Amino acid sequence: MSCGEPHETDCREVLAEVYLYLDLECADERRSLIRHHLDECGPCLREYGLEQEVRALVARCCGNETAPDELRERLRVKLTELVVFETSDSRELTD
Amino acid sequence: MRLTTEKTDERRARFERDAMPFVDQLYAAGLRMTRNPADAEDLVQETYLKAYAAFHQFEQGTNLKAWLYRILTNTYINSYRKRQRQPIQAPTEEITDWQLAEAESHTSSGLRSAETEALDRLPDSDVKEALQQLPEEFRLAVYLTDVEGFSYKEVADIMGTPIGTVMSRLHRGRRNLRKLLERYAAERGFSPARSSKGSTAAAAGREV
Repeated sequence: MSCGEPHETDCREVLAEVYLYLDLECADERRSLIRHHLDECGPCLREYGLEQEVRALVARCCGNETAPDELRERLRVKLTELVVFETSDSRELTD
Repeated sequence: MRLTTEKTDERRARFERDAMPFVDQLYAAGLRMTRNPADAEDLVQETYLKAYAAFHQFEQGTNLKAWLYRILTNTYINSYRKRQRQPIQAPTEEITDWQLAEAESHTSSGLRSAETEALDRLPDSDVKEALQQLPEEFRLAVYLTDVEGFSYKEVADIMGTPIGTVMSRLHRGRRNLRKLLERYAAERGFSPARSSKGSTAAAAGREV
């Protein structure tokens, strides 16, 4: 995609990295190049705006839950009952 | 043998103090994984019991939240997923990620901010529904990044995959998610670009 205007960084390159930019995973130098491009390129800015919106919607709508009180209570009881035998060669339980 | 011996009570107190505050977050993630409250509760319970049993292996000062998520994810993958009906959709076949944007770019420019507004009006239930539609691995990558704000490296550790895989799942997950959300917005009559979006909505339906 190109908006037809000359840019220091090509629109295609910017859009390919838009998620990295959004997720704060770009190196600083790259980040400022992209920011500069978004400031002067309407089509890319709109595209970025939509991606930002989708990310914000997921964050806002999908994580807001409260665990049932019964679950908390059950956990407390189970933890009290559980006796942990530690050994130096204990199995990696997280895997 | 361990050099320091923490008394059971002390360790339990430390676990309750440090790990229990994550119960709502883990439950929310469990809901998005299992897609039903009863399984989410069981999953979170199993996660906490495993975490407690392994708590002496957790290195204090490192990222407890990521550690708990890793246990949650592994527990889900190893025991829950097997029992659950797999989503019918296969992951989207390779589409160059920005091909779609390219195809639409100029025809739809000028409508974009109105489109953002349209997405913003979607009810929470639509957004949850759209996320649920994603194939599991995409859904998890999107959830861990967007909701929990984990870095790509952390997501890679949690999911046990290389960072490149995380990036590709995230990319494709978000792309599909956006198409679904745009379709929902059009179906609700929110989308200002409704008439010109028909073909995109149809494509999203096939593909997601």
